Amino acid sequence: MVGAILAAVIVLGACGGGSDEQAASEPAEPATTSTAATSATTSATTATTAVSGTTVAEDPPAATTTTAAPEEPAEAPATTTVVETTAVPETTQATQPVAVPEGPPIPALTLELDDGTTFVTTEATRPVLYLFWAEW
Amino acid sequence: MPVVDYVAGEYAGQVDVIAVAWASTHEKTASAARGFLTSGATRWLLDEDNSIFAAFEVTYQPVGVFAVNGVEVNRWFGSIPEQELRQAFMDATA
Repeated sequence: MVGAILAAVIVLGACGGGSDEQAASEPAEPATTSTAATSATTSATTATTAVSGTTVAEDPPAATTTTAAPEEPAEAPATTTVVETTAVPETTQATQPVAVPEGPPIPALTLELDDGTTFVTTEATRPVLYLFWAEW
Repeated sequence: MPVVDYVAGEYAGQVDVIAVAWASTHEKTASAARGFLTSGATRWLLDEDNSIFAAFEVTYQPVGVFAVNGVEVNRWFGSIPEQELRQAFMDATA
């Protein structure tokens, strides 16, 4: 009877040692699984971030394009206005030289008049009548 | 001279009229100017050495020379009718 008990204890002892080794290796499996799950979660988060980043990245260019579009039309009307303004004076100036009279140039003289003033023949701003006469 | 000065008064501010007197004494020329140039529109000077007459190639008087923009546009010798004188003023100011 005692021998049977001892034999049973020995057998149980042998089984208990094996379960210790298994117990040591068992926690490793859940840990690995947990790590994999974490990695999967991290990858999913990264993927989500990447998608979000793409979405965010696409929006700003659209906004930039929208902002750039109004600038180009704004410059075009300004250029058109300048051309129209410049064209009018050029046409007017082209017709002015036609009025230049023909004839021999007046001698360049500085005349000291009796009233104390000076008259420069080449600086006259309006028509001039030179009247040559004598007191006798 | 009186007619020219009269028309010059009508164009005061539009035409400068300069009477260049042949060489003489200043007293005699000034006396004649006071009698002929009464409108106040004609200014005058005495050409003491006739250099101004020579520069304009005027050898006798009276002679009228119209200039516009520094260019001679009309010249007449001796006395001319008032109508022709007025036409000369109108052409110069047109």
